[in-house]
Amino acid sequence: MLERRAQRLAIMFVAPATIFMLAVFLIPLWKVISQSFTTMDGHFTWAGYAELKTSILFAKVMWNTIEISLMATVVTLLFSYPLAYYLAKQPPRRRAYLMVFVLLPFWTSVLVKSFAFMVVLGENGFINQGLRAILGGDLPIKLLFNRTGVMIGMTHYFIPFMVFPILTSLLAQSPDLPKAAQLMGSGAMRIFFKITLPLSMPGVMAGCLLTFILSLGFFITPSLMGGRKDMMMANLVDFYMRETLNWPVAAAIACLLLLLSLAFISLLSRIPGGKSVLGEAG
Amino acid sequence: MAKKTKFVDITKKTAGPTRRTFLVTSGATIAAAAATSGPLIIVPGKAKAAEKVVFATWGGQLQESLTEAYIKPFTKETGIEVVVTGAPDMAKITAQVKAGDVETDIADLAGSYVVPGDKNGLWEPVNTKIVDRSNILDPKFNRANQQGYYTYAGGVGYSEERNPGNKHPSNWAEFWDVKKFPGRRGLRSRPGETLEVALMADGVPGSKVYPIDVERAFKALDRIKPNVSHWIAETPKTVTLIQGNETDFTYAYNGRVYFANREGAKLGWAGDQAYIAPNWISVVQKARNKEAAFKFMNSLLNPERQAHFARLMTYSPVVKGADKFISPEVKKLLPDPLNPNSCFENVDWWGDKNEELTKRFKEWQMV
Repeated sequence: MLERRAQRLAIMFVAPATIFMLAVFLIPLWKVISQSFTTMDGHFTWAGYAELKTSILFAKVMWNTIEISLMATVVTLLFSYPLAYYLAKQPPRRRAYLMVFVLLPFWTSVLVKSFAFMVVLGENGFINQGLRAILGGDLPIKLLFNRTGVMIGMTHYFIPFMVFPILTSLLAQSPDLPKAAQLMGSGAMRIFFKITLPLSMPGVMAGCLLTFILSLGFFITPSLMGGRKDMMMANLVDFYMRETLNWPVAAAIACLLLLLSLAFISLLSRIPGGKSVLGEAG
Repeated sequence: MAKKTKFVDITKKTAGPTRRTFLVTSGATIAAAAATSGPLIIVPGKAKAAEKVVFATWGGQLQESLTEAYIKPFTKETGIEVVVTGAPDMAKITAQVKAGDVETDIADLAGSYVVPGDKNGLWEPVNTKIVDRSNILDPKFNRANQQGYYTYAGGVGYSEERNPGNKHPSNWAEFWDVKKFPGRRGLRSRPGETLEVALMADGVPGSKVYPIDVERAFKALDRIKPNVSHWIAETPKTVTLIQGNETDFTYAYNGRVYFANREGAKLGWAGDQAYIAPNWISVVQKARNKEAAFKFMNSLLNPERQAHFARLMTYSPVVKGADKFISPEVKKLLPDPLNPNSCFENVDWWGDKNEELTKRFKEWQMV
């Protein structure tokens, strides 16, 4: 009796969000899927997918997307691991303050950040002006409208997503383990590579997959900070949607992108650290 | 309360000097949102205020000039309010027409919207009973579904400060000549206009650009590619990139350069061998205020207003008799839309090639 009441209560709590998601996510998603099989005048078609099979542009953009996502993941990891390691060593109060700084990029819109980056990184931006003042000469370093620009923008966005899973797995480690190793005569390097790093791998894997999945769908950063070679899948969807008005193809790309992300998310759910990212207990 | 908004045309039932479309609507419209709850029926006495046209146009200085030259006098003359919305978006208009719920009545069109939109049934045939097109400078400004109402010109934009005198390219062959005119280049990030310009650079006379020899155009683009620092997607950047010293020579529009200079910039523009294109406007199919939209379209061809607009934007008029309202100084700034050196946009050649060529162009850019 009590259990059924609890169940009913649970439904009441969950229902509003569920209905909302149904209306604003699942129904549009269904429309996208059906659009990928429908011509502009409403007939069934495979043409959207057939076109992608032979399109050189799609192949290039697909490869680009994977390449940029991998690069962004690796660069983000290189910045985030030391950061997470440092945070893990801090006393909790101090760590809480420092986390605010890690989270700052989270609280700023990507669009605003991209424009801010343009001011900082442009040929006449702060950085190039500073370099010119120090080094003299007339050679601006190209930090914008190329792959470097995309990497800077994306890494800046992803660092919190990488730091937190790693930090969690670092904090979960028993402080006794390194102490024990030390007592047995192990050096700091050896402790890190034999104990800390292997034990934090689930966090690293989770952070990498999360970053990779998120970067697959990136749109604003490559279009504002990238060059002509930095077109990604989301930009291609926009291109078919607005420039050529070929919606079946646009929808087909969106569906494939979704499948790709789902494949990686299912991978994420299989690794130990991934469950915490996905919100599962344990 | 009914969810669907209904529009009832009662023009046929009412006799009288003014023929209007009346709006019978539920709470969904702006008027209703203002204060009323429940169904709102606009009765004839109040209809004057309700008549309006929703006009999608490119923003910025252009919108300000359109407001001054056309919209204010039109509203004063007819009492029809013109509501200006943001840049026309083909995807949005397509979605609206498909859903049968069209918000935009009349829209400025980029050249690439013309034929694909015709094919997708987006543009309403011009109602020549309302729009008087007899005064047009050249029949090519009149299309079945579009009216060209001013022309803009793409030429070489440069900085007067960094490249004074003759230190800048004046035509496309010189723009391609990076030895004689060293510097960074900016071109549009799309095949339209860029292929045409590439052919002129390769020695094709403006009048012979169409039909475009696509292979030849891409070969010419191969040569300039290493010197192109910016492929420009957003039109304002055609001038701001020169102003910010991010690039030296761009494919730029006369009106944008003129406007930047009015605001203190020192830019030059060479248009001996320009790309000339009409700005097309169409009434959207299933538009709510079709008749008012055509009345507005008709007012765009008024010679005096055309001259006023030309004075504000340096975009050239398309009707006879406009030039008698334009001073010689302004006339000097206006590119001649019928100049034989120039290439005149041919939307029919482009037809639905835009998709194929845009894909090829993007592929080419990525290599």
